[in-house]
Amino acid sequence: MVQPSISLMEIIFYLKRQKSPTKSKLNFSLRIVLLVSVFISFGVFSQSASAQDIPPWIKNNASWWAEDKINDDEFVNGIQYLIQKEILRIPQTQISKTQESEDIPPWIKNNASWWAEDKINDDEFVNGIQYLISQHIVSVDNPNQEAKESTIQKIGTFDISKAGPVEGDKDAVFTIIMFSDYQCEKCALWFQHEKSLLTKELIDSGKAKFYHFDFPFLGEDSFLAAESSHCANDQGRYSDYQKILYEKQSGINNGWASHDSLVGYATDIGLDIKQFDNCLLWDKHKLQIQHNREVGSFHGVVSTPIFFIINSDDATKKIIGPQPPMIFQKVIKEMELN
Amino acid sequence: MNIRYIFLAIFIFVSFCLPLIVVTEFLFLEPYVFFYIPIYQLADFLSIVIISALTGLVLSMSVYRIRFLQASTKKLRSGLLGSILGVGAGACCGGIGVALISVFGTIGIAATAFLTNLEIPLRLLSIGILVFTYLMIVKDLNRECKLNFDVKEK
Repeated sequence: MVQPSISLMEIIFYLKRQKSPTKSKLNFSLRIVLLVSVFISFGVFSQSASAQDIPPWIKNNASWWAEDKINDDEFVNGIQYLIQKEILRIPQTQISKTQESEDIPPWIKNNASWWAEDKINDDEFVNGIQYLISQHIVSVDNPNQEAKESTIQKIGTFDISKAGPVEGDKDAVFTIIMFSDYQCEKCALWFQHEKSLLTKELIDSGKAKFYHFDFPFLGEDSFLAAESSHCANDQGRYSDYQKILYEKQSGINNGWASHDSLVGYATDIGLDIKQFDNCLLWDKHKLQIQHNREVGSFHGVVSTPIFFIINSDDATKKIIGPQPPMIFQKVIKEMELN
Repeated sequence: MNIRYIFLAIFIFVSFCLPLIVVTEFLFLEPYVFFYIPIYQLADFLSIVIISALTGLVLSMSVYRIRFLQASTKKLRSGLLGSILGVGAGACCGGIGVALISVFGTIGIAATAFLTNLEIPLRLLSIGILVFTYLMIVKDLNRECKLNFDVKEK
């Protein structure tokens, strides 16, 4: 077993000697290799590798990848998870923007296989992955970094950059923001019985636009349901999927929003299940939902549903509870007069 | 007829019903004080009114029995149990649920889930307990207040 104190270059040299017959397959993988950007800017390896609490399923993932049971995309999704969780820290390395990607070296698969079999330790595996990233062989989005650097889109004091897609005219004077939990019965009832009238009266008329913010506070399934809605959004079906979620709502943590049920609803509306399932499995939108919940907490949201109406001057009115559209109209009218 | 106990029953009814319709979001306080019973939640609202009315009746009658007939507090406790069940049922996303979750964390979520998922059975159970307690009190009152003219004076 290689000792943790071994240097990175020694590992690379050692690993590079390993050959694999799967090279051609890997060439392909590189073309898909992934979303640009680890905004690695200056400097040398200033951050040391850190491997802590790597979840056991990542090892399974590595093992499956080494055995070609999963493809490169799926493996890289796992790496993205490590980066999201800051288990794998991306070293800041000087990389030219014009530098072209190389192939994933075959030794990386051996590396993954050894790691899965505990022949090398976590640190060594992480170093190998860091090497891939630093050499621009694997380029992964760093969601944390992305989150920090993405433009904050604000309406009033609300950062709407991570909200669900906007409904209605983007330039509408008024903005209605709804904080909701998919497991909340009142939210579901409001959505099923009141939302259509609100859409007709205020959104379709161009008076207001509507944003849905996740505020999952009723347990794990709430969070999972929120994540699934954004996974559906990745395939352009946010509102269809959201509609199904509210229709299927039938209690709290009683299975209607379990992983299997959510995948079932996705099947019902014809989503790409593999993509959807991977999205859920890797918690792709976890940070987004956490962000939305923080936005809610910052604005004093403690129960659901809660609505905020914001005008062009950033004046904000709060509507607590599943109130009918006439209240929204009244508030907007009042705000217009002021 | 003792008017004081009628007022007590009305007072208990109002003090149960008012907070309950706020918590279950039929009476809104922000941005306007607004009372709204959607047709799809009529049964929910009626169950709250029934539970509050029965609570008012049962508790005031129990107090009367305890005060004047030195009866035990057993039926008062049954009445309270029925009322509490009714109050707790459906304690989801509004006040009670949030309070439970904030104070008790995971246990609060489990309690909220239990109370919400079993909302209808719990409300029915609550009404059942209150009706049963009411009938028992009426029966007891009839028996205890009956004048027995056959008893000979010693």
